[in-house]
Amino acid sequence: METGFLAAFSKKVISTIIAVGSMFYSTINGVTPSMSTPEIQFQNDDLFISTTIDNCYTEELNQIFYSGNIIPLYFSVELYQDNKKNPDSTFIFYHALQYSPIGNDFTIYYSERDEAISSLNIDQAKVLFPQIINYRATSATSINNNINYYLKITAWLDKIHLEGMKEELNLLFYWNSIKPNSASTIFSKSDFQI
Amino acid sequence: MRFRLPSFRTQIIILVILLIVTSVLFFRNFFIDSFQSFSETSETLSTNEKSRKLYENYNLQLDEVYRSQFRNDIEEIMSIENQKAIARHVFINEIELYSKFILFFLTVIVIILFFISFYFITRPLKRLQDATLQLALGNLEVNVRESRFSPLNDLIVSFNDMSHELQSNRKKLIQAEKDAAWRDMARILAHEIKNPLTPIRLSLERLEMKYASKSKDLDVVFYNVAKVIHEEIDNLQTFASEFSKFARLPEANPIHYDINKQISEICFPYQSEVKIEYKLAEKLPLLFADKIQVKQVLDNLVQNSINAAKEDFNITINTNFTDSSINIKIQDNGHGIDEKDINEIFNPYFTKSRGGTGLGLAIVKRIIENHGGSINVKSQIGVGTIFDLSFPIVHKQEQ
Repeated sequence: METGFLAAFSKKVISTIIAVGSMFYSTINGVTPSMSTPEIQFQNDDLFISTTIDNCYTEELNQIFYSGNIIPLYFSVELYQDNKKNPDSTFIFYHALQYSPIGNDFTIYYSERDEAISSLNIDQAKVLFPQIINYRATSATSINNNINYYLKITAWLDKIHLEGMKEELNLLFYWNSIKPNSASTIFSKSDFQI
Repeated sequence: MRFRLPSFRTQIIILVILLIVTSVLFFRNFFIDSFQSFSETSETLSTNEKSRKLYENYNLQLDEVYRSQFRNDIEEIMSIENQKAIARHVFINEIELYSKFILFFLTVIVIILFFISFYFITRPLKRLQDATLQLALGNLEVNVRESRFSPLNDLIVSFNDMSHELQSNRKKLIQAEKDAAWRDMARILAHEIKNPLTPIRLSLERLEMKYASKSKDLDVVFYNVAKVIHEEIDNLQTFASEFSKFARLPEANPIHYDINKQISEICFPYQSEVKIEYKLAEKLPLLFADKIQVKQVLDNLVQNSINAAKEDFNITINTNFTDSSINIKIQDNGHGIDEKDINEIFNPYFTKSRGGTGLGLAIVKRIIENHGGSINVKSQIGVGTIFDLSFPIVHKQEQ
């Protein structure tokens, strides 16, 4: 009983120490990613955007990519009226990266266009994984006349389960818990070539 | 430059810091590095390569239908292995960091506990050290404050008891010395007063007898008796005067002056009685002393030497100096002083000469010591006596 009490007490003490210590220092050496300003293109009555995330890899993330686990990277594209706080519409999609241990190559699945690119080496995969290329963000029919709009894109990594770990590993910690985001330039209905 | 050990407290602090640093290094090397090394070794034992070879060996032998399933299964196994390796890596990182937290926390706790115990142990020790120093300097009234929670409290109590005991003993000793001094003085006074009374009484009795018998030589006897009484009264006056000088030595009024010149002036009158040789140092620094009191010292010593004169008697007076003192040596080739008396000659009322008060050398010693100097004597019966006087050099700016 005494041993049980001591064990519980020491566990409590050590947990407190770790909790206090974690406030000042983390086990994960993260990076601070940034999203480049989205390029917008108007084609007929559609608006397409392209962007990528810079400074988004660490040595440990690379190792996790090689695990063979599916690594999801989520994007949200929000349409805002220039003078409003809440978005008019939000679209969420993701990119999924997976390593093939037998093929020793990577496959990226783009949910926004339901397409996968295979047989990539690590360098190619790291370039393509955070890229959004010509994503159809909105159309002229979705926006009103005489109102200015802009698009805000936000990216984040999700938790993954690793075999042998009790808790899921939050990959966002490798981005110092920062969700990079960026806003497009202002546009209006008149910018569309209808 | 002489190496000096740091204080007791500093030594303990250095020791504890060394212990902590050693513990940290030990902890890091033994646990973290060993753990890291183990994990690296275990990672190298990955089954990935074996799985890949297994796939390559059997893939082509399988029917087309099972190939895809086989590949998925093998990849799943390989993926699990990789995930385990990464999980292990993350776990090790966490353990390493948490170990640092715990180590840091323990170090802080140890340092706090150390300072608390250090405070309770060394503070009383420091007090004891200071008190011992005070005791050594003669302050017997020193008392160390007791610390009820200190493990050294018994030692403090014993020290205080010892200090009180010493204080009490000193009081008793001082009282005993005072009593002895008074007894000695009373004895000497009685003796010195009684000495002249006997010849006075005998002379007066003789005068009475002559007067009663109407002696013809009454005038002569009267004159002789009067002479004896005068002499004895003179002796009593001399004694009273010397005693008074010893009891109330006036406060010194020091000035800087040439001691060589003073020696020549003082000894000049004695040169008619005795041969005096001078060996006086050139460029002797000026002596900072009360000129009248130093004259008294030199007069006394020269007079003492003359009193011990024998045939072919001479006195040599020598002066020299060091960086810190002016030294005067008065040497004679007189009868010398008996070895057993050497330690007594500076004591008040000690005399071997008839008619001496025994206060001369006591006054000499007291004057010299009042000037921060010292006097030493060497003597050999039949060879002579040397008095070594030393006065500190006081520069004008120090004065």
